[in-house]
Amino acid sequence: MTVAGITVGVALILVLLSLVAGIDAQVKSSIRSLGGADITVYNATITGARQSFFLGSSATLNESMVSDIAGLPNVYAVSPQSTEVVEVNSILAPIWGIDPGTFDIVSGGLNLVGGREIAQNDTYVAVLGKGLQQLFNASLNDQVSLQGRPPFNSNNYNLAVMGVYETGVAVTDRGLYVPIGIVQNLTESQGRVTSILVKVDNPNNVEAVSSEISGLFPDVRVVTASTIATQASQLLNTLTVFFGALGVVALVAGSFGVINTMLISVVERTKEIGTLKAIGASELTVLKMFIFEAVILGCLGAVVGVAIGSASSFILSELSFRLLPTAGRLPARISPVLTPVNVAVSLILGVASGVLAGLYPAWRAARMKPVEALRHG
Amino acid sequence: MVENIVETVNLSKVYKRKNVEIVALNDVNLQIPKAQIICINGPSGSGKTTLLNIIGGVDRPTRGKVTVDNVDITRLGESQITRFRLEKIGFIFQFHNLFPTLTAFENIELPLILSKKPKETREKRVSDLLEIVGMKERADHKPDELSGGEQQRIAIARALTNNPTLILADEPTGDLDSENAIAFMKLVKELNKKQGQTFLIVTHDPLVSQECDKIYAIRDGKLRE
Repeated sequence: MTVAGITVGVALILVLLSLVAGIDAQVKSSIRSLGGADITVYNATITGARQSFFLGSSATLNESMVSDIAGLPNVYAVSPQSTEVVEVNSILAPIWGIDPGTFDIVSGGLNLVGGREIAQNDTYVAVLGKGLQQLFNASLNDQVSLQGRPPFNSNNYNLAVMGVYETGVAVTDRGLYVPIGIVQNLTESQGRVTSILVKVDNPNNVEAVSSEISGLFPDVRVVTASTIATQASQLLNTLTVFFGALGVVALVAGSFGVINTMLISVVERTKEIGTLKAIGASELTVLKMFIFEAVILGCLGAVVGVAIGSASSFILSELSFRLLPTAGRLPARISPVLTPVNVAVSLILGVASGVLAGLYPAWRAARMKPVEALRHG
Repeated sequence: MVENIVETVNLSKVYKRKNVEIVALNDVNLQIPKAQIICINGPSGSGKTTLLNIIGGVDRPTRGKVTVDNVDITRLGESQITRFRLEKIGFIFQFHNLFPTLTAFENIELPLILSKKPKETREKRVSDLLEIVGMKERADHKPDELSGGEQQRIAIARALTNNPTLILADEPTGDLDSENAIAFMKLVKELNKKQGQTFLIVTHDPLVSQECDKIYAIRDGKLRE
């Protein structure tokens, strides 16, 4: 009970640190998985999967924009992309239709862990995310069957697995990449795409090019990697402040618990302290003894807190996976990252608050006058 | 001329409780010669425990001075007087005041740990002391597994640990039956004879008083022979 406050505080702080680290990792790899694209152009109002989920297709950008953008100064390469949700072997999965000729240049390509990428003249092929590949236990050259979602459920394809990629982002790894024509045919959106990836010749020109695109096409949303990073860091800051405040409040409350318990224990042991001082223990010795006790209490609280914190950050990520409808394009799982540094920081905070809380009771014990202490009880 | 180990000069102690002054000691002049057993009688509240505490350096007088081993302890600072208690004084309490979580051995070892003696020295000294007080077989017992008499023997051993100049005992037989009280005084006499140990015992137990070399009475803060 005494150490419960410290335990809760440490747990909250650990959850905070590991979730923030998890989100950070997620955001970073999401940005990475956007491909090295400097600029991404979306439809202005509704994005990707959500619209495709309810309305059939989200491809609303005219494919002719690709050549328009490619003609702008300082643009190095442009690649169209169609992102939808389809049924793969009867399982819902995100699908990315890409243009094999330009995708690699714009995005830097997929991180392959097996097989090869989609080549320019490939037709009925797919590169599966590692998660999906494991789900199907699929080998290279196996067939996967694709079917559109209503109202396009009469459209289907059988594709050969050419390769396997891994991004580290759970949602992305449960999807697949195919030639863009497949997605357009599945969702009957020929001539339209969901997004356009742009590579600029020089990073310094990203802002200029993106405002140029905005000027040319007022109805589209132009997102640069840095806007995503900014949004992500704002979210992270909010989370940090929220959990951090909770954690600090719990630690402070916990410290009062320790102060209370230790004061009681000092009073209960008045006679022992008196005896100890009478037989020649110095104030410093008594002080050290009680601070040692506080360290033990702090350690206990911190260790239990780390255990609870680790467990609950996993439970929390599980819950966020099940309960949150969308956190981006699809239900996003935030995997907590428990680094030794995070664990160490939480432990140190817990022990430190225990020690701080122990200082006053220890000082009271040390300053106790032996005569009065001996007279007690 | 016998050397005096303790000398008090015009020692007075006045407590203030809610604006009422209580005189616990009133100009006490006491000399304790080396290797003697001195008793102080007196009803409760007469100031005898206060006198003991001041001589033992756990309490401070209001006036007067106390020299122990030619050192005026009223002039010592807090850390010096702590050292003084550790090295020169052995305390025996009425209720033994052993640490319940420590074994007999560890209770005796405590003053040696406080004076930072190495482990081998401590083990040797503690087992010698256990031998002296006849408690060798009980070394690993906790206080609550020992009888009152046995606990008091451990307390004596603890008081002896650092070879103190003076052992102070406050009603040491107050919690013992007469058989154990007699055994206690026998041990005190033995230590006095064999090692020349000086004792100052506050008591109103005639079994103790009759064994002492000199008996003082204290009443209303005044000491009489």
